[in-house]
Amino acid sequence: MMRPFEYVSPANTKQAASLLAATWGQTEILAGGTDLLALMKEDVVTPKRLINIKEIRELHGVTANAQGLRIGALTTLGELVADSKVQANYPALAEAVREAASPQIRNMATIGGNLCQRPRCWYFRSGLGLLPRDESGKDLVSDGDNRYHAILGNDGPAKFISPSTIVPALIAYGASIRLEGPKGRRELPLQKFYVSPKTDDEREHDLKPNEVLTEIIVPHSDGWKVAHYEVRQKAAFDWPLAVAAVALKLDGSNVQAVRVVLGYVAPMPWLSPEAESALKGRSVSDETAQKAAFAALSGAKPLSENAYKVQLAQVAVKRAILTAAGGAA
Amino acid sequence: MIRKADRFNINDPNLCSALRWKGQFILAEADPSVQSSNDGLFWCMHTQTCIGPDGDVAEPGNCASKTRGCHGTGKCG
Repeated sequence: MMRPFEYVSPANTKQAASLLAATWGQTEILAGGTDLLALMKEDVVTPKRLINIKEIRELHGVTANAQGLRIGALTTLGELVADSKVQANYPALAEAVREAASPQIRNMATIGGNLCQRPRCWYFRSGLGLLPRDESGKDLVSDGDNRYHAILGNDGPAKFISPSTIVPALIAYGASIRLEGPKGRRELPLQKFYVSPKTDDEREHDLKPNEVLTEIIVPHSDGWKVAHYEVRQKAAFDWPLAVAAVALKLDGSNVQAVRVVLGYVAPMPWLSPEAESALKGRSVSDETAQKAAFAALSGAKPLSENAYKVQLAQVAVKRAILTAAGGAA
Repeated sequence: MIRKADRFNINDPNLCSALRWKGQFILAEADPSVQSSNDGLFWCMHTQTCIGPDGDVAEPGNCASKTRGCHGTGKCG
């Protein structure tokens, strides 16, 4: 059962942005539809107008330019995995995309949709909102079933976890995104796209209701060694329990520069300056990787049922560090 | 041991209403010229993961049994 809605197919991004409402809840963007259609059928998302952007040619495809890689938001995950430039220069990204979904879904799902997908929090998916509360205003997650919820960044009202497994790898590569709306274009580092909502009127990202995510820019990966590691309940396709992506720039065996990004542990992708400090200027070994992994989770505040995630996330960080140090770009 | 045909049988009449898969909401007719496939990705609406509320795997073969504690209820045990 789905509520009636208006369906429009704009020909360009400007037209698409003009069809979007200025407040959330009125309109939704349809790209691959692999998440949105389920949310609509479950009556969790009920837009009055659906804007199909799949006909917008400028949003498709992967191109290399002076800045690095430009990935159109409508590029499917399948196209991204198969792209020779991605395979050759961004292998950890290719791996993260390959592991994100089965081949059938990769052929439909878009990278823009992956970045904008809604949290998989069961309270949210049951129609209770991103910040679920009871009639008295008491937070439902802290005292409820929170086994898959956040262990970091959960001091505020948001306890869900950021759902993309590809985003940590993109942030590790230093990616930024471009958005287009009624006030023109803007570009921001990917990590700044994600926010922890404080009120029910906010979403989990900085996308304005009348903006379209148009492209992702991934800088040249020269000199960086990047790895991505997921801990899942089953080896087949599944949403993970913890994700880590690590980028290292080595001078001999010493870490010159580093980015450590965790996923599935906080309402937003989680950069860890603590882990970075633990690695910078040191050589990578089992011991330093372990110390960095402990540092990454030093600020963790597990909820009543998810303390187990602390160790899983530590393992993900340690293995990503060791893989990055021993691997290619 | 459960047969693959039963493990992934999404047409079982006793399938739990909370079982979800990506193709569930896409009302497209199968192309007879293409071999049918199943990506094996299922999840429970209550947990939003591949593990059901009772800690067992959420798949058609497991989620068609009415004796399973969480079947149709989303409750553990």
